[in-house]
Amino acid sequence: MDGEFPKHPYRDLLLPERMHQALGLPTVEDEFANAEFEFRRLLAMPREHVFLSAPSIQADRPLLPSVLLAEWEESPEINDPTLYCEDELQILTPLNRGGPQKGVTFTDSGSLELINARFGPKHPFKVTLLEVYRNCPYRYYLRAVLGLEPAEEPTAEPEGRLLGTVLHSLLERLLKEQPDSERIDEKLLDLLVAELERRRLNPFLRLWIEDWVKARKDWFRDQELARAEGSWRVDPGWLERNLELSFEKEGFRLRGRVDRVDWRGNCARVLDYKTGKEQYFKRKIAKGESIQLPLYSEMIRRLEKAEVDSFGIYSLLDSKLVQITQPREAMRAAVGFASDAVSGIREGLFEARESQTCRYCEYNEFCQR
Amino acid sequence: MSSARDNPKGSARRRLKASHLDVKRSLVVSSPAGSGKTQKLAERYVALLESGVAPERILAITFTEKAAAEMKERVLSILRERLPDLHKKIQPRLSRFRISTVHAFARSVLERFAFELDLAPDFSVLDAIEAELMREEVIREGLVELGSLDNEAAFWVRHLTLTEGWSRLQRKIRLLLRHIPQSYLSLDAAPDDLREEYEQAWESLRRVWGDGFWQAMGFVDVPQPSDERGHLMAMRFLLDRVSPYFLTTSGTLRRRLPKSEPEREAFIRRGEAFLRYHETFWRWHAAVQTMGFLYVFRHLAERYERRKRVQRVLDFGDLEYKLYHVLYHSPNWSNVLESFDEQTDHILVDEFQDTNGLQWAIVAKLIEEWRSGFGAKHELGKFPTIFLVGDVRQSIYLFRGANVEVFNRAARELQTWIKAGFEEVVVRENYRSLPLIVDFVNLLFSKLMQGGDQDWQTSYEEFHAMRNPGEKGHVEILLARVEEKASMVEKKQAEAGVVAARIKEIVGSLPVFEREDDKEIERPCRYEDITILLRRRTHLFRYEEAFRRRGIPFVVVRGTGFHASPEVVLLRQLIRFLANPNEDTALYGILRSPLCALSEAEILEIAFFEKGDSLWEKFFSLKQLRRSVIWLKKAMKDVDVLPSSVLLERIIRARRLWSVFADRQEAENIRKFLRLLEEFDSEGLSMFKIAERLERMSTREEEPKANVSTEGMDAVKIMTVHAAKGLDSNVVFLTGMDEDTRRADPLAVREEAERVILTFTDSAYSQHPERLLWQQKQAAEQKRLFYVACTRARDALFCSGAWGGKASGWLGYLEQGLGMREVMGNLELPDAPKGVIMEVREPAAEEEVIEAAEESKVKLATILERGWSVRKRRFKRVSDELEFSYHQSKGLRHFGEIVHAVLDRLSKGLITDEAGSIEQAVRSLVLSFDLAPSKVDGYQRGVAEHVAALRESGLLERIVLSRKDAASEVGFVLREDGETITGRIDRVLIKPEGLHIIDYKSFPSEVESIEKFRDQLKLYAKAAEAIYKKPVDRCYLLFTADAEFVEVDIA
Repeated sequence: MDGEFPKHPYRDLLLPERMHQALGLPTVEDEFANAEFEFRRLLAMPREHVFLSAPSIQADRPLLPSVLLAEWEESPEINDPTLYCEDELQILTPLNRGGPQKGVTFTDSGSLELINARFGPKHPFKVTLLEVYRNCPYRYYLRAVLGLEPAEEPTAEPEGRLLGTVLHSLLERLLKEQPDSERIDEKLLDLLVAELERRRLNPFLRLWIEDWVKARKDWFRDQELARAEGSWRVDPGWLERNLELSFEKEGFRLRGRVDRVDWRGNCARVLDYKTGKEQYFKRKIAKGESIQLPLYSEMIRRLEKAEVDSFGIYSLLDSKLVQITQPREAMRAAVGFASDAVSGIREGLFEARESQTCRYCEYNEFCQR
Repeated sequence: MSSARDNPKGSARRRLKASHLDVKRSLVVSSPAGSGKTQKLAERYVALLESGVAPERILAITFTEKAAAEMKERVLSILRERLPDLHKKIQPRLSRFRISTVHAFARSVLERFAFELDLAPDFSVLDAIEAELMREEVIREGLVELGSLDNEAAFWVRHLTLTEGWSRLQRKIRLLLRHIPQSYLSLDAAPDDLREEYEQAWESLRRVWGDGFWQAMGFVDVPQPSDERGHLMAMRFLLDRVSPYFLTTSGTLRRRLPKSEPEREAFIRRGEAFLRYHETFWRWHAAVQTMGFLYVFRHLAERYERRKRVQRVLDFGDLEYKLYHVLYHSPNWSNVLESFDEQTDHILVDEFQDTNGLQWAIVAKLIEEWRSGFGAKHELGKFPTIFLVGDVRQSIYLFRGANVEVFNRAARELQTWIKAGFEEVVVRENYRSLPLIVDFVNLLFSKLMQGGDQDWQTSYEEFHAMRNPGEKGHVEILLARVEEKASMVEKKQAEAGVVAARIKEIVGSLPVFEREDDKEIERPCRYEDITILLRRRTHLFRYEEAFRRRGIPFVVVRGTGFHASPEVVLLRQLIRFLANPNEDTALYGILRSPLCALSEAEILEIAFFEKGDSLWEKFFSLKQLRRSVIWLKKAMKDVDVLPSSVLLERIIRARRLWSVFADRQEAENIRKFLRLLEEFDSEGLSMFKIAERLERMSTREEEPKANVSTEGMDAVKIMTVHAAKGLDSNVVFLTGMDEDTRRADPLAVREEAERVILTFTDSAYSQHPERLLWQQKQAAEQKRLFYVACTRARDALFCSGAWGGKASGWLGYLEQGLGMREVMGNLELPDAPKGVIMEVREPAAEEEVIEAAEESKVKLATILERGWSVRKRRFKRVSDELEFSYHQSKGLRHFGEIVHAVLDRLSKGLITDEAGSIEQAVRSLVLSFDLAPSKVDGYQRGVAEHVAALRESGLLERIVLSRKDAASEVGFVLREDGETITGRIDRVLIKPEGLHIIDYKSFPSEVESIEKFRDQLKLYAKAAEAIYKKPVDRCYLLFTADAEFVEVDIA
């Protein structure tokens, strides 16, 4: 017999206990008497022995034995070491499972050969992924070496990635048309409606993005006016532009896609749109945690034989433009950082590196940070 | 300091004895930590039974099911010991005891009156997980649907999504629906009720703006203010852009001023004006946000209510709110009251300080008739009573809606209602802690808790130490020295290291006391005596890491992060993969787990293979590796045939996953996961849906790990201060003293009569009076939390933290209460009681730690001796390897385990003794330990040497290799001298003359004297005799390093 015995008394939803008594219907006492009767009948059934057991604890919660055992003495505990279920037996023979993953380091020649064959001098390293390596080599390994793509469902929720895609596309279209800076905000809203229509988003997302853009359109217009006043020119060929360049001396090849480059003569300013929070940009550049923009700048300098005036982020969320002027030092350092990253990859070094952003990492199930 | 120790039979105690057993009198007992609250409640209960009250006429309310079960047990134990006749009479009626949680009680009333209350008569109550899933779904769908419309609600949804952010908005709504049932009270009034506040705030703002404010600031073209919706965001952005010129991020005026005098003056003038404007704006903004929020909240709450109604379910919050609603607003309230009154004469409530206004309103209504001293009961000569016990200083659930003010308010109201039949009693005895701890707590908290005009301002009452076993106890402030600008990671690493080092020092030396019969017996401290209290779980893994590194056994009690625990992550990966075999990330997790134990090099090879798109397809193109995942292929076929819970359970058994996750916590987590799957199966969900739901749930960090009984584990317990409530421990380490852990609650909740005021608490509203009040309440709660933490200690209290030269967090309390100060580089506590130790330590360097772990190898014998001859407790899980693993350096521990596992596999015929087979086994073991692949070679060489030595000596053939009349790794549980001991015997040979017991040692024979292992072998022999029903003929130690085979005489 297993489970609750006697069962918890039946609760009559209509008639209270005293009505049961008055009408001669079964009462809680009767139920208990029945249970006791059944129990005694069961006890009489076996030929030789009766064993009664009751759990004393479930997880950390104490359990009391059945009230039917009230008059029973507790017997000495059964000491049969072979009484186990399969799970318990397995638990009694533990195997070590190791700790959380700290990353991967390849030392065997076979793996290193495989890695070097793939990531040799002709392999174009994506700049964004090298930045990933700088911040966590293990994350790079999972994404770029093994190519693991976490399966993600399309969502109907207002989230940053969707906003980013819409706005990148919107700004590209807008600036390609080279509208008058004075009325750029009106044009922005017109194109937004068309863009949202094209994407067939649900009404909530459409309205949400509309509100989002409307709240920032004035700032955007001011920025574009300031650009025009500073004689910076938007070149339609330098919007969402693919770059690829071999760094011969350093022994690697880079590629990437820059959001926007404004020109003043042979002088460039490199911009990256951000729709999410972007904190500590300058600090990250200095520490080599953010190498994307300085590398793009360096690629533009070499490809176009141009001078880079500045690079920076065009933060639509916070409505601010954060720029690094006199960027040569940062660009030079970034090439060094990229070089270190490429060497690390080729040497098979993919340690997991802890940071504040680990909890948002798509692979954090593997290192449990 | 005067103490009741001098006068143990003090008047307070006498008065309480008289009071709490006086069954004709209603009482509020304010009972400090360690004064035996639950015992008093149980004694009161027994006194009522003794006076002839039937158990079904007493309603006792506790706050957790665990507390209810403990209370029943305690009542029965008092009856058994003191009143055996009554016990005999009462025991069969145990099922009629009405000792339950407030929710269970509310449920019973709602069930009884389901028809009258328009509830489905067969309603069920959602458990926490189900309810949370339903809430998440309702909120998400509701917001998307509402936001798509073109009406008032849609505006607010989009506005709040823009200003608050999508996830933050959902979190706020979830918080209210989950924890704060009284928030429903705010729905009837909102949002019109807020109009007035909104109008006032708007008027002030308009005035400031209209006074040419922006022109004065030097801005032109700023539009006139408008409370039209379109302007709201524009105004906010304008402000956001100007703020950085004048204000710091915390909303105060910038200190860096322009250098020239006129510019400076202008800056200050404008800055001050801007600050005024800033505050006015945010006040108005808060009113707007709250109004909009309540508007949205009302829609979603209604939607949630509809969904529950359709599914005929209630959640925990409903139980309280609906009972309240019935009693106060339903036309049937008198029926409910009459029925309750007819069945109940006495109410007892435990932990009363953790109630909220709603719960007290329910209780107050239930006793409405008797509290007046009139009514049918009094006419019949019955004296119904109410007995509330609690301690305001231990009220620590503000964030979950508890209201500390209720305790004092209830006492005042009862005094007014019941008058002579009521008494408020303050207990001053402490039966838990040793005198030094009590003195420390008294001195510190009498300074920190000085009370005030408001009920939430806790005041302190000193208590007296009643324990005095001849020792004063131990109080130590233990700080890790760090750089002034050390990061939080550095601070916590340093602190965890210092705590771990100190634990190593005190185990085996610090005296603690164990109660045996009526005496306190002194003995040296063990790991199991120690509890680590964390302020928050953020840094838990630093302690885990530090303890592992130093070989300290530990268990995390009631830890959160169920979904992130490795065993649950792996099971989730299995589900994800079975739902979608193209889920490469899940497959990667499975491949590198002990389920497949593939090396990273093998996985790399698969990933680089050109045939096939997904990892799984590539895998099946590589013939040499295909075999290792045949079981997975088979499981994929079973997906459509078997329920997910059955399928997973089969995999777990077949792949011996129970052995991998053999730790109690891990095993319980697996069981909890399987129960969750059973629930999903019972809903008829497909594997795909289950995977989807699990992924959604996995983002909830607060999901608790499965409950585990820690009884009998010789391990340090780690838990949060909240989880430690109601528990005590011989030795307490209160960590993170330097941390500032004030919660960033998204909402402030203030209960008023019949309504609740909600206010956003984001930093933007820094000067909002409700937010300021909330912060003060939080500060008061921090002190209470500190008090709860300190009073968990029985014999020794260690308060640890990082010291970088500033008394941050709770160290500030030591500064305030005990005058902590730094003199000539040394920290002092001048006002602390004599005997309190203050120490600032340099964190140990990493090499020292490793050396210390290496050293522990030679201590093995001492540990074994202590393990088996000194310790006395009910259960013991000490297999040789467990002891070994706890006390050896990591490297040696792993090597020992690998040698044992390889020999076991050889014995079982799972591998052959050929070099290739052994190397393969060692590699998979090394990788399953998650050691660096670079270590494989070393371990392979080491094991090969041991096996070669054994082969050369003939022992491999004679002892180890597979044979019929032998067994390997024989598990046992043995009862010895009242202790239950578990272990494993490495090898048993069943000979005609009797059993031969062999224990493998992977270190050379000269390291330890053989004598040390005699006791161990004796136990093995005893266990083997019980298992095989044959006598033991001989016992041996087999030292695998030098193939020494030594007989040990156990006679």
